[in-house]
Amino acid sequence: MKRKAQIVFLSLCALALVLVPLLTLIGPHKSVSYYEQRGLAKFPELSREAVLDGTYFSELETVYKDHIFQRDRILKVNAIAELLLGRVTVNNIIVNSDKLLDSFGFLRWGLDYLKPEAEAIAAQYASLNGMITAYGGQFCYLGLPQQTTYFADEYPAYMDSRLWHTTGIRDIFGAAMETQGVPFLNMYAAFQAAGQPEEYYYDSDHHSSGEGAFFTYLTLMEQLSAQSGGELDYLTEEDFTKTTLKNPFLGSSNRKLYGLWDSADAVTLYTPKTEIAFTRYDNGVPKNSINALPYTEEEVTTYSVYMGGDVAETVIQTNRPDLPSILIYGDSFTNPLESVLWANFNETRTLDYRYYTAKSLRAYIEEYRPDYVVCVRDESTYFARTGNGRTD
Amino acid sequence: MVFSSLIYIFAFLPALLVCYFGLARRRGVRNGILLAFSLLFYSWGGWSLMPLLLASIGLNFFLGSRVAPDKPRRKVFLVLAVTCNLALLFVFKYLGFATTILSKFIPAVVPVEIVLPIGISFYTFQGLSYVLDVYMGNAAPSRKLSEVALYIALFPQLVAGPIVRYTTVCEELSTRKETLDDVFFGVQRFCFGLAKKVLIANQAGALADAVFSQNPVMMSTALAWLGVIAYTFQIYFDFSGYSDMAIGLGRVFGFHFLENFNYPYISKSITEFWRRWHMSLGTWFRDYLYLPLGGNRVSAWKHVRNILVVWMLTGLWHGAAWTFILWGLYYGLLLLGEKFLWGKAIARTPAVVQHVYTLLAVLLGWLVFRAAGVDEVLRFLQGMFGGAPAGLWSEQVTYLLLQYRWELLVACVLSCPVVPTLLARCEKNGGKTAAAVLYVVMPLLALVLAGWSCVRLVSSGFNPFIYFQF
Repeated sequence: MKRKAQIVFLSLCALALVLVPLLTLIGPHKSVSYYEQRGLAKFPELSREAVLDGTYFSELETVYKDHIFQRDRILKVNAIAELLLGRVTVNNIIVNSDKLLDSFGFLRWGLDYLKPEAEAIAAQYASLNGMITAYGGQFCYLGLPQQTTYFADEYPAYMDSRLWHTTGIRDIFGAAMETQGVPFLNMYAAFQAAGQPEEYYYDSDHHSSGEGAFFTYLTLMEQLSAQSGGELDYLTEEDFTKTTLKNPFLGSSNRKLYGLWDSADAVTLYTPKTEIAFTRYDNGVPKNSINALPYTEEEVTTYSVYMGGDVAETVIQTNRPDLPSILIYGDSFTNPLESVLWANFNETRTLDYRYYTAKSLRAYIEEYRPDYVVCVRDESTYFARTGNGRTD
Repeated sequence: MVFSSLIYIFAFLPALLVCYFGLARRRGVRNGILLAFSLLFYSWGGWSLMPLLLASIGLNFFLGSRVAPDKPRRKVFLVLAVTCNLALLFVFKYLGFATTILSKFIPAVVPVEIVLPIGISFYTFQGLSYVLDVYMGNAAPSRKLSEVALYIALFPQLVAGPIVRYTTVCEELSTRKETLDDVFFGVQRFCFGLAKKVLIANQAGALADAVFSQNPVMMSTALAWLGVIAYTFQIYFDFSGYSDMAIGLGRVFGFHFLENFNYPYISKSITEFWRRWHMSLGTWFRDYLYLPLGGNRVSAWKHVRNILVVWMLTGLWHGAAWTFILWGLYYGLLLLGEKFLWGKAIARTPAVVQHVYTLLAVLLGWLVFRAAGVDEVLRFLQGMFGGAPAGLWSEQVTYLLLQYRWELLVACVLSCPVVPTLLARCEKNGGKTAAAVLYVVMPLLALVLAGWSCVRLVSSGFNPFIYFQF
């Protein structure tokens, strides 16, 4: 028995030691990790310095780790093990709650830095607002809470939702924008006034849901209409058909858990009851649909159904010259908003400055002079000056 | 390269095993393969480190051949060997620290920054061990440079110990036999060591890091204790796990290294703790420094001096920082206290009191060892003994206890000799059950734990190794 057991054990070990590197070498290699949403490490370039200081070899280790055979399955197995162990957080997501929420850790810091920072940024938006109103346009800064703020009450009592921080940011930034006279639409307050319905945000994604985005749309249109003295007509709830896709939905937080969390989330779409003819160009390339719908009911959908995901520049024209034009820019929070907003305008332009590099914001506005310019930011990015936080 | 990396497990190790067992039969060729792979293992940290290792090997081989009992002027060569080895260590490990201190008093001195070569403390001590063993007549000088090179550079113990004495392996360098038994137990030992490192030490390390990086105003009494306890587990499972892997790998290739840990946290005194913790370092200092200084067979004050010198140097060996010196002296004073003051009184108390005393002293020792500076030590001490800014308990403690409850529980259990006791009982009973445990259950457990460790290695970016820095 002893010898047989030893041979079986060592053979199994030898098999693993030979097969893993062999299959890693010949196996299919991806360049992007779908679940982690990041590019995988590339083979390092050989250089004298990198060999001498060891960076070449450490990069090689990263490549091996990123491309090991069946990596996605291994990551999923690890997540299963972590869930079975009953962890509070797995891959930085709080899993012992009714919602999947980001874990922020327990660091605390003073908020004294917020006021001067808010004043400086509000001054930049005041300057942008001045530039737009000077040619007769309207500007609106739309601030959205993240799912973690919206569901702050869902955090386990011992976990930090960072509400102390986001509340500070929202209040101080809002006050600074008001002082500067910049139209600021505080959606957190609007959601609260509406009774903070649970369906307005996803359980397993950090964005607002289709319903939440539609409510945001209605609130925004009301705001823009008020800003233009009631001259802006817009489609209301009765003018849209609401459709909820039956497809399973993989939220951004659930994606970090490899889809292991049982979620009731779904994609909800609002389409105008009256068909509106349009042309759409994404980065100059024609596209014939507003949303990227799945082909079957079984296909897993994500937030990128809305508008087909993040695009650097989208132009939608409806050939109705009597209607105004709009430019909306921001991160992915804009996508479901854009998917209903366009129906009210002759021309809708959308920019995402995380990807768009051709022109500065001011140059773009100067060139197209849209009647309305809407900046959409979530509360965690109010103070960011890069990407869609640019005002130059 | 570290053992707990995917490239080691699934590239380096298979390649070495194929070459070692598949391509070579003769001892000399196998030694050559092992040496080549050992140098490759070391050069993974950067080829710029290689000349220093090669110089250390060459120096100790040459001087070792001049200090044998039958050689003339051997004392001169011994002094030269000790001076050269310590000078290398001083320049690459302590010069930056020394110049930083001096620059505070002498403005003309500019602090220098030198990258610490990986494992320099370990291979320097092994090189010295070779020369000193030859000088003391415990071993004959090797005629082959390749054998001395293999002894110093042998990859299982090269970068993080255990410090293998030349006398332990000198015969095995040329006459060892790799047996199925050795490979079987060696691989198992490696698997268990890997699991200790990846599944327990890394998690305990994440917990400890979360506490030590916390804003001081958020520190609660429970949090400070939890952080220090977590670090206590991290350093034990990290280092003993690495030693298990080293001993296991050594056994695969026919070497029998001495044990480095013997359940130190069950000790009933600090004296006992140091007989169970990092034993290879303790015996090195005892045999090559403490005893040559006279040990305890000298006047009382010289005995005190010997203990303090040995422990200050033990602390300094771990790193060039005041906290390490403080840590060494702390243990020197505790050992003196046990020897001359409270040792007998403690020994008369119930066992539980002795355990509590020892664990408390060890915990405080690890706090000094882990802290970034004396300020942090004082801050933690204040927090641990009731003066924490955030009170007795904080939410973070609840989270950390829930998040890491399994690791903490398993660490508690495995810090005690539960497994060897159970195995010994099985073996004593003999029969089919013992055979089933030894040859089915344990290997199966080793495979599962090694597999789980690899899954964790793929999934996690957190894989520090504490003794790598020494």
